[in-house]
Amino acid sequence: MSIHLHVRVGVEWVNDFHNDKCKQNDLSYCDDQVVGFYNHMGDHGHIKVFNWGNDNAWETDFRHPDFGGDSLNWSDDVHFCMVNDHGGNFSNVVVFSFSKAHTNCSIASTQMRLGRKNLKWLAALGCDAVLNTNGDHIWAVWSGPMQGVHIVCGFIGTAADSSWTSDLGEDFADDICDGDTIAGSWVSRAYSFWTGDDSIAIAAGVTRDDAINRRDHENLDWRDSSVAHTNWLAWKYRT
Amino acid sequence: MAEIKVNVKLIPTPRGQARIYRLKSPSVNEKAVRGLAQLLGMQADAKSGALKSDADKLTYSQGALELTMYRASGGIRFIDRARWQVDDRQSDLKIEDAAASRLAQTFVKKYQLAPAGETKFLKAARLHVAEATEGGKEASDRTIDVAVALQRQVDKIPVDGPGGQVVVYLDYERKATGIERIWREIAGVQKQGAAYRTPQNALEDMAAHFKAKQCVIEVQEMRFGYFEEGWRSKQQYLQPAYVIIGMLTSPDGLTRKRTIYVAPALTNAVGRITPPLEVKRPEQERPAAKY
Repeated sequence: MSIHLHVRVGVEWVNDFHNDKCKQNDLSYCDDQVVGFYNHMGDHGHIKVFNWGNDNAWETDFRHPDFGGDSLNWSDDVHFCMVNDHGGNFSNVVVFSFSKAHTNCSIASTQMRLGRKNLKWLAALGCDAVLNTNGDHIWAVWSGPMQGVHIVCGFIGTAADSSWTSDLGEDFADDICDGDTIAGSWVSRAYSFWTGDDSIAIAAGVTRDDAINRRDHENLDWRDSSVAHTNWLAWKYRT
Repeated sequence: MAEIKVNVKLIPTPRGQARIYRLKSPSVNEKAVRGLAQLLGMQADAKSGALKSDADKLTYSQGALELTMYRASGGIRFIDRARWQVDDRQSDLKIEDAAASRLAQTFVKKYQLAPAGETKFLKAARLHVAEATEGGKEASDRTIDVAVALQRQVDKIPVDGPGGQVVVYLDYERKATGIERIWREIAGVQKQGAAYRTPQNALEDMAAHFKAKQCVIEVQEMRFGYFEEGWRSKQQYLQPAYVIIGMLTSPDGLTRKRTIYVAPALTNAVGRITPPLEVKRPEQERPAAKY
């Protein structure tokens, strides 16, 4: 099956952190995964909008203007955003870390309003998109930030920064551009028997059936099929 | 410079003699893909199905069946799109690992996907579907398939890495719905292995690899085996390796990520295994914020 619509794509990644208040352990392969995704999406005819790495990746790109951020011009001005850096999850709040304080060193999911403008799909490749697969935890983490976004892809617990998983973005892009479902392709490609990466994709819906339908069937051609309210979440995961 | 902290007991230096094998270049072309499709039960004569080609892979599809061969590795993915990872919205697969492994082994044997006696059960990973509404209420969780990974063995040594596996997907009826196999054929012995390097040598390699990085890596696991690469890699040699899995945790303990380094295990290894870190040009500075 082929895809008929074009989507706008943006990616952000951080490998190198400064020895200042934003200090984190350096990473090495975050760019490989997301730039591979970005380029393969472009190869399939989709629109490459931004590729911000290291000091050019800013937390304000994910922070909603209600909290002083600029998300509506960046992460929420594309249909598909992929981000890869250090992640954490505490008290049901996901955090992405950045190398440069612009304005802060990190963004918490409590300040995200994903999908208020254009964002349909977010893939967060840092660790701890969720810590476990309990319904109350997943709801608590993602029901607030998912405000129009259709599907969030990520990992359960930690993920690997590795040369050997650097093809993930390319594989995922090729699958979904061929018409594969977004949740199905992510869970299949991001799971790894040998690195121990456990994958999860979470779909929002107005009703239970709506959320399930998106989880099981949504592909890039569902770009304009909006989620009016996140009343339900439906997810799939491999572990 | 990366600091390596070892929080686990290092594995012992392996005993016995290993070999370094030369691998065949995979033959990925229309004839090969149709031939394999036929073996797997697809109708694959010249007039059947549809063949699609891109820089990385060749895909033959007929009805809901789809067979993909990767050019670099020769890896194959064969799935029935009508059944692979499909949920009927009611089934809940309850199957023990041992039973799933037996079914997978039978399937592998039937279709000759791996030589007899050269696989061992590695892991069974279950695909779940779940839903919940406000506050996690009305939550449900069902298992709709199990993927069974069988790990390649060479000279009774396990093959580690993204390759060296056959994965069989079983649905809620315990029937196979797909397979993935990355299993490069051995062309011959390149050379006999000399003495083993020690696990400590492998840690020193890891420190040198990450020397330009400011990080503290806490080693959590170390494994020994042959190392086979993934779908999109050309690999010439199969050689013993140490696989080191470490954790990068932020100074405040709030964020984390795992890291993996693979080091050759023989003193006469053929080159390195983990590619050197690329030296990248600095990014051009981003324009000021729009707001």
